[in-house]
Amino acid sequence: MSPATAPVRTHGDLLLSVRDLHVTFPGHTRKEIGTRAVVGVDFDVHAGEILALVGESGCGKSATALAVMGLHGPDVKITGSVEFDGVPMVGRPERELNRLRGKQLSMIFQDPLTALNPVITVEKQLVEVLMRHEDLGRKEARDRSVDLLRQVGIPDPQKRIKDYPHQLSGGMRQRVMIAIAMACNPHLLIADEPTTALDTTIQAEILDLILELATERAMALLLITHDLGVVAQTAHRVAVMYAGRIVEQAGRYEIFDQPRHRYTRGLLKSTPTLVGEARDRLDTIPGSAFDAEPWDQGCAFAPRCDFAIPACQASQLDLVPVGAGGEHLLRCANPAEGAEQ
Amino acid sequence: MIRFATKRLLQAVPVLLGLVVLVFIWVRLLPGDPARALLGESATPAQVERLRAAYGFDRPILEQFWMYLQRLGRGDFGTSLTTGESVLDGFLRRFPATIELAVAAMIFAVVLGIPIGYFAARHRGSLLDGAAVGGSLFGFVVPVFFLAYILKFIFALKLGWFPTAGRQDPRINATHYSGFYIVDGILTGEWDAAWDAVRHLALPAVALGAIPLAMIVRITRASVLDVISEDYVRTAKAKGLTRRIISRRHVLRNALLPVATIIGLQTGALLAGAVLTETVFAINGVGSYMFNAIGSMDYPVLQACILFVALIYTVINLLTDMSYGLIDPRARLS
Ligand SMILES: Nc1ncnc2c1ncn2[C@@H]1O[C@H](COP(=O)(O)OP(=O)(O)OP(=O)(O)O)[C@@H](O)[C@H]1O
Ligand SMILES: [Mg+2]
Repeated sequence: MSPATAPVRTHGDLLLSVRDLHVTFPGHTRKEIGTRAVVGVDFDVHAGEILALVGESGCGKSATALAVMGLHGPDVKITGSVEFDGVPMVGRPERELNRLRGKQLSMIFQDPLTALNPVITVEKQLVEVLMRHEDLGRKEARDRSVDLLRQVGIPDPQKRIKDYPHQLSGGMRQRVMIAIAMACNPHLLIADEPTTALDTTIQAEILDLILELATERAMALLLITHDLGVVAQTAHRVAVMYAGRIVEQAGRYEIFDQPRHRYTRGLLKSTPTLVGEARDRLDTIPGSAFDAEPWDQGCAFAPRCDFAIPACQASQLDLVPVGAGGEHLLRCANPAEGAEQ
Repeated sequence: MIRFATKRLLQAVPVLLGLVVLVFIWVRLLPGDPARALLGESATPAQVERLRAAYGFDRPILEQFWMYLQRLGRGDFGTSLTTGESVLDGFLRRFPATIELAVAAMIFAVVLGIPIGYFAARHRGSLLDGAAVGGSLFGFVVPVFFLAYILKFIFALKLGWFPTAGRQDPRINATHYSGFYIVDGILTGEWDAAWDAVRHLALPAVALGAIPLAMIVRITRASVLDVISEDYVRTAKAKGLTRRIISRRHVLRNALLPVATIIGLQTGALLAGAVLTETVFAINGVGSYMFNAIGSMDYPVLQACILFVALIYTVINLLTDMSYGLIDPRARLS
């Protein structure tokens, strides 16, 4: 594993800007309110930067990513703003989104077993994205596809390109998915738990591959993970999400050395890390994210928090800068002190 | 693909053989003497005796079965009890009419059913969707013969848009090679004959195609609804592909798998519907042949028809399996 070596502040221009994003899935009946999966999320991604979005299962990571890509169905309610390269994405016509998706921004999904079309060849699935966005003939697109497969580490690409997805292993399929996502050199790549569904033995390989390709091509990367260990450590910045909101966001050194939010601390404690002493794997946060109430009254984590005070429930809590520099953002009424663990 | 087809064909052999055995046993289970049953009530004792010797009904059962197979191999299905005509000849003369009708009905159902089902799914909850779902319910509940009568009454008798009966106007004096009238008309360049055959076929095909149409609309709709929420369709969108390419390459192709199954099953069921449709529209095909044979207990004819239906089912099954292989690479392996 090679943690990204770039310092925190190498990023270039603002590329993606998400403000007050809300995503609500419809309820089963028309009257029912539905699931508020994302409840006012703000974050930025700069050119060439790696931002890790971390949180437990169900906290709204995928819902956020899909909203950025414009991939939610028509019955999912999305408000707030998503600006990519200065152009608003929310409410943009499909036709225009299609010109951006796959070219300027693309996405790798969690489950490589279902993300590829089972009835057409790897070649077709690669060629179609190249021919859609690049001015290439079929022959050129095919050659490029073979190159791409080679770059993502698929042995004998000339031959494997004729394969159907079911003829490839999970790891190989995820490599194909990566090749598809990288095909047109996007400015932003969203990787939604790209290794979660894979064998532990190849998770590191795939993550390394994504990081290597992204760095090499100076792509920005929105890396979604539930793992505040190895994966998040490869990012420049880390945003921790809980029950549809970002609760803490900071540079990766800050997050690991001086976590302020109790939830971040809990996550850190329950994750084995490379640096520092081995922590107790069994030390998990009591309760579950599914118990979380909407954020209308204070902190959604309060019911699970050992340090909850009356102020946690009472007030509207905002994500505000703490400490010097303004890079460390926190949403907490009773935060932990600096270096205390 | 060829290996796949050969394998499936070989798998069909035991099925067909089993059916031959069943038909063989069936004739021997007929009340009384099989020779008498095959000859009918009016046969003289001498005739019965002759047939018994010829068919070997006095021999051991296995030997009888062997002789029976040999007769089938020669295409000897005996003679019709009612007309005295060779069953094979009578059958071959009628067979193209039925195939033509079934194919026309299926084309009608597929060509309309898949697009309707697809658009209903894509515009779920719209007026069109409601009409498709409601209309297909109508297709399920209206009996074939009733629909045939209604169509005939309205469009042939009242409005006079279509002919009421038969396969072709005899005054056209068309040349026939294959017995498939439309094909014959096209091959000989007798366009008026071909067109007349199409007009004769239209109403029966619609009547017969109604149930498969309803089925195909429903299955396509359900299948498309399933497929559009698949991960790979989301991937296709994430790639920025146009809606047209996503529909054709990613949605429809995957959605067609269950539709292919239904088309296969329904084509078999068409043969049953053909009996009624042919009767209503006075089409002299296998269906009405079978219908009349049931009425007159014409066992030799029934026997041939049963084997024919089984053969058709087998062939269609094979075609369905092969279409799986064409649509889905995973099906080519097993
Ligand atoms: N299609 C949907 N319809 C209704 N609710 C949904 C849908 N998809 C997700 N949700 C709900 O929205 C919330 C957030 O889901 P999301 O998929 O974004 O979680 P996640 O953080 O990506 O979790 P995971 O780590 O399991 O992928 C969850 O409570 C989930 O149950
Ligand atoms: Mg997810």
